[in-house]
Amino acid sequence: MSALVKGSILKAMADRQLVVSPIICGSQLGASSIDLRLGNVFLMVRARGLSDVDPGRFAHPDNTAGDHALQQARRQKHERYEAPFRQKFLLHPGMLALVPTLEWIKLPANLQGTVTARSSWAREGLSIATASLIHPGYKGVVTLELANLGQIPLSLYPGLRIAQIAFQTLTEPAAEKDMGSRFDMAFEPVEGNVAHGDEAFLPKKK
Amino acid sequence: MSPKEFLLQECENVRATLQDVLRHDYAAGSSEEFYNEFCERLGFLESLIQPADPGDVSALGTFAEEISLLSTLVHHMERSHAGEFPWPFTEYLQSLATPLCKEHLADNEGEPIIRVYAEGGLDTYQINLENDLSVLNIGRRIFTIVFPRTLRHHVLLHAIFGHEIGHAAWTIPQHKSDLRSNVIEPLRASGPLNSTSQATHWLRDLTAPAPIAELRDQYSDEYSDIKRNQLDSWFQEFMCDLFGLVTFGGGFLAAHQTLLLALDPTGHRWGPYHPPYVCRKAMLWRACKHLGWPEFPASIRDPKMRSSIDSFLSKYSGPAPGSWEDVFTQEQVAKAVDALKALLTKAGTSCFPMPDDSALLPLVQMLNEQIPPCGSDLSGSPTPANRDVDFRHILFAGWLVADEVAAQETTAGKHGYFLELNKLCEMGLLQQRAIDLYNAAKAGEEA
Repeated sequence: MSALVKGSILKAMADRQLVVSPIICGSQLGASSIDLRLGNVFLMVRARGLSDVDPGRFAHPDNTAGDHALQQARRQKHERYEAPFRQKFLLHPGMLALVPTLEWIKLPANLQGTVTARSSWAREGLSIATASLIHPGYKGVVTLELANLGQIPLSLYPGLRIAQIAFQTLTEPAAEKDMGSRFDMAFEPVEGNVAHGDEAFLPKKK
Repeated sequence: MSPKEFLLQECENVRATLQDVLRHDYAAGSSEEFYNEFCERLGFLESLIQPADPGDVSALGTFAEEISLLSTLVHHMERSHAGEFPWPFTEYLQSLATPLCKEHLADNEGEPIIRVYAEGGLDTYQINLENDLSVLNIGRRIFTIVFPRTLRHHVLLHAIFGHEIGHAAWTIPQHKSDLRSNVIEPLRASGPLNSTSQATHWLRDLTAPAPIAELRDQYSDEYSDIKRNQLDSWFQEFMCDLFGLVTFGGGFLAAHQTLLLALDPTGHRWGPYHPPYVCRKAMLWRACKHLGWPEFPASIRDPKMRSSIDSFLSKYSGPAPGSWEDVFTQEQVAKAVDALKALLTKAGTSCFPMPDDSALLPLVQMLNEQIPPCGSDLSGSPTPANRDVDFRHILFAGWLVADEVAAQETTAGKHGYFLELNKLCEMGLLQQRAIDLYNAAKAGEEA
């Protein structure tokens, strides 16, 4: 496993194995990474009358239209905000927002990506949280989990460069059956399923 | 409470609602311009109601209509914050519609204030520009764009807005006069829709297609006996269809057919406002012929693409010349299309530019590889040269691929591909908008 330098990244793109689209300008290309820009959808976590995160609700879902409680719980915790370019979005201290990248990413079976904050934004308190690993074979936008760790609001605008992605080769291409996830072909952020695989530890629905 | 007192109270209610609406975040730009405009209008309306004679029922009736209109617009503003529409498409649409709607404004009028929101229903597509008949001293007009809520991501279907641009233009007195004499009159000059009596005769013609005869039996004479207003409305629809084709090209043909046949699978229904779809299709095909669409595939070098466009166009080709549905001659339609193009060009609204291989092929390839179609340079160059792409070419490419996929998917019975294609195109529009902004800023710096 080794990290790709700029020349290798560009070669993988020229061979159409790797896609990062669009790269708006050459200065997005670093020595071993590509800067990623902010998309225009913001999924804000909001404390509202009926919002919480309870894995129990997801553990044994009844996926019928009639499952009002589950659908409501899923929708209540986030507020969706879509902004045109040049429209400000304020990320307040302590706030968590899921945002997509402007770029569409396609990774081949032998590459994985790692997403981190750009250091200039990190110095202002912007944290791009946990799910920084992009699996081989993934295609879609990358969801960034933004949190403001500082004490003053951060003004964010769609199109700003706020993150970067680096690529690593794998010891061998990932198996077809291991690739793909529920987030494949993502166009904008969606919530995860915090109960997935852990149903045995959660109370059954009455 | 007297009607006058009630109206004054309602002015207060609208002002309170206007202030309440400010608690929402606005994705649709700043609410300041809308708020200020409405405060002015409310103040002016109150200054008219205050001295009004409580017995002047005519004036009070007019004021009631005005306050009701303000109340509706404030509600639209509130709906707007939910943002259930695609921003990049909306911005491109504004760039097409605004020059046409601005042209008539007096020099001292500001730019229209644009409001965008979504409503329920498949037939809610609308573009409205306030007219100048209001008793209020309108400072800035409100320009409203309405999307169907459920079709938030379906940008391919949004090509139908080309038709709605026509309705917006019709509300502008200066355009209306030009459109009536130069676009509608040639269509009306001869043929079965030349007069109400001829149109009624045509609708009752025994050689009409079977579905028409069946519908004639279902409908009362109210619909089958064509009235003057009905015929006027029909011609407005024909004119707006030409607007759609001239502004959105092939994407409009597909969106038009998909939506209209979804609302009327027979394609033959008519009503007080709309002529049968089959007649609109026949007219559009004649317009296509005049614009060179049947010859267009021959200019495409890539054989697969050529065949794909041929197959696409075959779905929109008209009926046999002279058939019942074919209500206009080639000459009539040609005159109308030329006049419309001249009007749009004069207003600064760009007509659909016919794409070539270099414009269309990369977009189709990107879609086939499940990459959002835009002018992104995918060559791996250290200095990427992203291309300018007309947003309507993205929509056209989307429809070409939708057709191909639909042909493959028929047996599998899947329909999810269409939403995915729409989302890819929506994403492509967003990315193209970013490219456009960057390239424009760079060109500005260089200049």
